[in-house]
Amino acid sequence: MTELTRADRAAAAMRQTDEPGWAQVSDRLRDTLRQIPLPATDVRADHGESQGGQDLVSTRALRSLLRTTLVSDSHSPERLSFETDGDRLVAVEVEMTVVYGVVLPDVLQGILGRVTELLDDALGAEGARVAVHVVAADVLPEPDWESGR
Amino acid sequence: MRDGHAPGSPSEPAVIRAARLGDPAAFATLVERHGPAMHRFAVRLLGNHADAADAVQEAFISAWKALPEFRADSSVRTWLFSITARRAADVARRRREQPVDTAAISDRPADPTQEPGAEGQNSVLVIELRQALATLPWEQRAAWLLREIDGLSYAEIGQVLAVPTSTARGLLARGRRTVADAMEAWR
Repeated sequence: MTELTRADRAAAAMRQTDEPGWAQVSDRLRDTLRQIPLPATDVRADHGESQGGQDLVSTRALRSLLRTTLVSDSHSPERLSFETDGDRLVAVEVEMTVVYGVVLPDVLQGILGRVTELLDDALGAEGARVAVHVVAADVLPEPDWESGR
Repeated sequence: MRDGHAPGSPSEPAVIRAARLGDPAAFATLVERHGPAMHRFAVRLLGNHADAADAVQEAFISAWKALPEFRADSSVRTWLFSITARRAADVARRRREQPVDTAAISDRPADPTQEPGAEGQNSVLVIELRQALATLPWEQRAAWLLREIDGLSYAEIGQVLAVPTSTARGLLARGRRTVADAMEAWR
């Protein structure tokens, strides 16, 4: 059996040693992160004169809406990408993780319909101009997410 | 010292997926799981608690902003180590004009020579190790910590330090030799 060197024993001791201060760093970090929203773009919405006219909607709000709405027992969003041209949302790409056993074309078609519906609600007439792409990015044997259902 | 997650809690891929979609609670889970290791790494790399706190804070802010673009080419742990190493280097660069805070290196809660038994001996070893690490060039110190404390592979160390795997191996070998020589000399 090889005898441990002083450096080996010191490394082993350091692995067992914690550094004080993480709790304070963690608290400060939590406060800071709360004030730092993810990068987003304000995009145009047009609900018609009778429904409030034009306004702007943040892609952050759309991301949050899609993240929470597109989760079910059989699928969950993996990644959401928004393509904009100035203040116009021109495309949304939705990458999904699905579970084994689903009929993929049916599931993806259903998600496409749901995304289109959500964009129409959020952006009105502007939503109808958005190209929506839905792809299956990953397949898992069973869901590793909370569907909330 | 590893930071696993409790059985029954969401899997790492599920947490990353949710955080990448902008879920702040999921990102908080990542911070909780990986933050302590990033903090220890930064403290030992910089040799200063205040600078380490700044580096870790900046690292997680960068991670939060960059997460939507994170592709799982590396593990999130390796990715976080690489961001922490870069932010620590930024902090060190900003502090370069200031003298090295040797007090921080030896600023331990108690005088270990007064502590009896193995615990006291270990404290002495850790203090000597901190002093030996402080003599290493930056990248050797980072490579040593990533390998000896956090158990990263050569390839992962290369990813963290943005160098080829062979370079990571060389950095580690030189760092190990210097640390070992220093500690034998102080015996």
